[in-house]
Amino acid sequence: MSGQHFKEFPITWGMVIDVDKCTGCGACMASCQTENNINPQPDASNKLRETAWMVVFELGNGKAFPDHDVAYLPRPCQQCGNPPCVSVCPVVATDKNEDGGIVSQIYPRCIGCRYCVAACPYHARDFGWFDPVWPEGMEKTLSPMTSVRPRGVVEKCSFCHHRWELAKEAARAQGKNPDDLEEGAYVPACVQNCPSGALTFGDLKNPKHKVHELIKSPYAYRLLERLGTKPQVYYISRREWVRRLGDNHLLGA
Amino acid sequence: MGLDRRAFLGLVAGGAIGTLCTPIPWKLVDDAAIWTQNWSWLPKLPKGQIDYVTTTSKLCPAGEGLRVMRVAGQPVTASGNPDHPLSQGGVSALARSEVYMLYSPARIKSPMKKSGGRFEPITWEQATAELAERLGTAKGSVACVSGDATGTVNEVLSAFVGQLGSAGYFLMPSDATTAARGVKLMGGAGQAGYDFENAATVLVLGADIFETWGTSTRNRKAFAASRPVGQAPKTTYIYVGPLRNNTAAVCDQWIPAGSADLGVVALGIAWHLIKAGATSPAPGFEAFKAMVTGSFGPEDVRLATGIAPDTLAAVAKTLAGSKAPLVVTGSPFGQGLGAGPFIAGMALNLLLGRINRPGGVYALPELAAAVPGALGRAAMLDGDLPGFFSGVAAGKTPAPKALLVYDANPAYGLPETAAMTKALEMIPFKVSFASFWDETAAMCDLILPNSLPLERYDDLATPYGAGFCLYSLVKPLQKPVHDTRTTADVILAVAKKMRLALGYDTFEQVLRAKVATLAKAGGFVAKDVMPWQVAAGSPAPAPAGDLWKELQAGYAWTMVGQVMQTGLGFVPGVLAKAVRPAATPTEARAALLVAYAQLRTGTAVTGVPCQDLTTVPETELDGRTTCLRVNAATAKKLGLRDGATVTLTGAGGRCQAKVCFFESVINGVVAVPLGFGHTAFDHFSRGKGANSLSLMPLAEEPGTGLSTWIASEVTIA
Amino acid sequence: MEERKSHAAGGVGSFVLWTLIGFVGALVVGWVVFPKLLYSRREQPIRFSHTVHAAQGLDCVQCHHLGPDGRFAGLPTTESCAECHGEETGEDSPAGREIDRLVKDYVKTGAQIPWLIYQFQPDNVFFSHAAHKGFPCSQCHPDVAAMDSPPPYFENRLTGYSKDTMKMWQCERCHAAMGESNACYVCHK
Repeated sequence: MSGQHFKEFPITWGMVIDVDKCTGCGACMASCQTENNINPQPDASNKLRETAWMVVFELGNGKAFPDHDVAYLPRPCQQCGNPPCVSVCPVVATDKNEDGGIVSQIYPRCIGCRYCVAACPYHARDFGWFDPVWPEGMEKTLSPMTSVRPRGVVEKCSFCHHRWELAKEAARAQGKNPDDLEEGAYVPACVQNCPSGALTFGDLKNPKHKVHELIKSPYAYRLLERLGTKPQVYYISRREWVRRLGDNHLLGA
Repeated sequence: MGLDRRAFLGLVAGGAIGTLCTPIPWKLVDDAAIWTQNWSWLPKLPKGQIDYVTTTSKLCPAGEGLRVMRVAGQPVTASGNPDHPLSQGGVSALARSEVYMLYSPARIKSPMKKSGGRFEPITWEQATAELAERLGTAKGSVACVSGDATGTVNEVLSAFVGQLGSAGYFLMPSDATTAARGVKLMGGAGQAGYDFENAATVLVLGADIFETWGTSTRNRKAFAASRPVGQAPKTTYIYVGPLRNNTAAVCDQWIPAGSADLGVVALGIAWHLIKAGATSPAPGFEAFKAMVTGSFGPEDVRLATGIAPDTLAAVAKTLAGSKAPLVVTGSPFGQGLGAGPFIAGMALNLLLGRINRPGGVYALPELAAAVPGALGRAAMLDGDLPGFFSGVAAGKTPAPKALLVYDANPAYGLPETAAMTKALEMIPFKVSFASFWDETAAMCDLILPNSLPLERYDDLATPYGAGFCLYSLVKPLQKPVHDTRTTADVILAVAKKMRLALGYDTFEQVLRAKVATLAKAGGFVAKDVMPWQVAAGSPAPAPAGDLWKELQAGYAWTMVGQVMQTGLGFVPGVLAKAVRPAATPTEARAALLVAYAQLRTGTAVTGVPCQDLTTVPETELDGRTTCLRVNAATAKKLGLRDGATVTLTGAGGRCQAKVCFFESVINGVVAVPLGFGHTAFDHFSRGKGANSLSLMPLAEEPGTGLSTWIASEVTIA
Repeated sequence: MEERKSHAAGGVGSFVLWTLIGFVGALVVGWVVFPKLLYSRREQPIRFSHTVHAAQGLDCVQCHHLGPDGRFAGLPTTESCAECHGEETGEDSPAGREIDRLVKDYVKTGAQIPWLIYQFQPDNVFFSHAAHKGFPCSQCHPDVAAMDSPPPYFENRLTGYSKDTMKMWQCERCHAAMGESNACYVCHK
């Protein structure tokens, strides 16, 4: 592509999303909102202006009643192995330079040019059009682990990277190796709270983690794979029409 | 030597070069950049020690145990408690927002009294004095509406109302009220409980088991456990209903059927089971068999519902061949189902021999009451609140002199809103204990705001849908944010003032007494062994030593309960009257209205949690208009264009909606979301969409007399 | 031409002199006056003496310890001070009056002492004390262990931060020297 090359790291944090178990309830979306200090938005029905890092989309197979089928697809940041957003950022506010492979987004460095918002094929990035406002007193419930963004900068899902930091600290306090965490010591808020078990998280390279085997399933696919973004989020569905939608094929083609 | 122009220029130049050699420009630029990063109006993050404490959710009907993160003692986020059977780590979008709701702008900040049409803040002394005085004059005719179906606070309230002279104690209608009436009519005893964890095949008739029905979070965990990722599922789930809702989206099969036809579908399946030789020793079987064979054959069912005979034959075969089938019946939107369809669905469980079996329906015993004179849960569930209000509005039933409204919003959350609000207006004295400014509180004369669950002691006992008896404690995690008090404590104090003996001074005493009775009932604290494992045959752990301590630590007391059935039967007489094919609308622009509910839009009592507005898709709310989901064929018949704004009329109400084509809605039906159309609460909830309940008229179910509103006819213009 | 020369009143010498005055003056303003203007000097709310408490036998980690979850406890809460200072002393000495102020204004009211933290970092920085366990505290923090009263706190009037707040390049330099990653997310949140 344009000079950016695929980066490999010893640890590769990845998510496996079972589309056949997602009921579309939005608990993952609500978990992300509260974990990452995203402010309540009264006019959230304008989806072009709202801020939501995790979004659940409704998919349909395009057929008429009664052959119609529905699926719900949670879409966090795909933490691409070859991120288009990183290659376009003029100030390196976003980079893929850390073991674990999480694409970082640094708010004080971002100048708000929105080039990355345009570059991301998954629409995973949100621009802060407005200053965040919390109802009086609600700022007491902010999580200490995610900074509050002013307007004018871009934000996106970070796989709850702060939870990894907390897990490493806990490992150090117990005298364990922070680079060899047990499965489940670090999970993002959405994965932790999903009541349907649709989300699984772990190190894709670690054979002791469930995701390592899950991604080998014949039903596993990634979104828009032909773009070469190499996302670290895999989806699994036993329904072929859902898998075909992953690459946005024209129906019947 | 004066300062001439050249010297002055030299001075300035020297100064400039000198300044460049000092920190001034470099530090100022750097600091200015930092200054732009720290606008004063952006909140700063809390600092302090992080710890985790437990409680239980009362705002979310799924009753999850919560694990709340605190920073320097202040609650910050709520997650599921992995040790709690109703959560197992999962949490709904509603329970997740519970901490934020402490600071909702919709909160009632102090006791309020209505004078001259407006509310004035008053002190608690004034409020309790006013309450005691007004209730004193209303003696003999005090009614109560409670939206808390699981708490011991109902014992306090019902004992209080009983001593004052009760005009009726009602729980807000839900699938629990339908089920209780159904079980009672069948001659059964106990609360219907569903053992999903041990079921192999689950037939869901209407009930939204993975979203708003019963213990939805726990149901989803049970579902997930039997469906390993990317592999063939170990269970089969079949959903029958008018719309592919959240539950149907993950089930293995969706059988489209009108919400008023669920009973017909159940008896249609019974026909196939009986044909294959199924029998039952339960009373009424012979007459039931005759009725089903005569009136619910495949052709009759096809004419009534449009379902092909092969479809139901296959379902019957799957159920009969399964080692643990389970049939669950409920309303697709959590209320309004008649007892007839419920009995029909339960008859299938009877026919398959699933009563009090692992993976089937357990008849759960009621836990012993702690407050003398309290109403039992069965008695509370027996009331028909919409029927009662309907009677009051029509002048057939005398209006109570006083009404207590606890954790309920009948002015919004009941069908036929026009009639319900008319009845409420006829009641001379109404007092609300709401925590948020809801539609009913706005109509009341006195408000004594309840502290939120995170600020008070409370409890949760065997919610409807649980497959086992359960008791979980709610404990206060912080002092009340506003001038609110725990209602149960207020009632106990007012009772004392009115010289009514309820037997306790504080609600915490009541809870301790309740826990003491539990310790005697047996059961165990669910830690390493969960109650469904005991139902499946694992040995039950020994009862806990200090039950109160375990409950405080966030664990739940559970018990595998089975109430022996002595008279549970098929009641074919009731079924013959109550289960009939629904009428199809004949008018050109009329369709059947079906609603669906989501936990993310809150309940009638919470309004839309401010954090959850971003979770509402544009297929549900577009701007300020709710979306009406209809398939293209139905839309063509009704003359509706995709994206057009239309007006729905029904039951004296009018609602606007935007047409959204969606093919997973059965023909002849339009689907609308519940939870919108608030005229109270805060700017996050108010003025968004329409309240679809206002379009639904009440109908009296033949054979049972229960008020139903399961399939309402609306005209669309 | 003579007219021109007569207008240059001071000549080259005056030019050079005034340039030097400007240059030196700017240096003085920049290095002496500017810091005084930029930073305001503040004192800690309570004149806490580390030497006195160390002499009592208190170990550093009794107040400044790593919790079981690995997070640094930071400065002790009013509750831990209250373990020893529960009641007013009534003494008239400066130390006695300071203790009484602690008890009256903080222990009895339950308020937390608003300590001014010399090293406080912005909200978007994540620093793990657990990861830096091996280093002496004084590598980054003023060595208050040997001080009888806390050093003054200089607050930058423009940014609100402390003069001693470490800047990013200081962390980066040590990370690079130790062979640790300087990836953004290692320190930012």
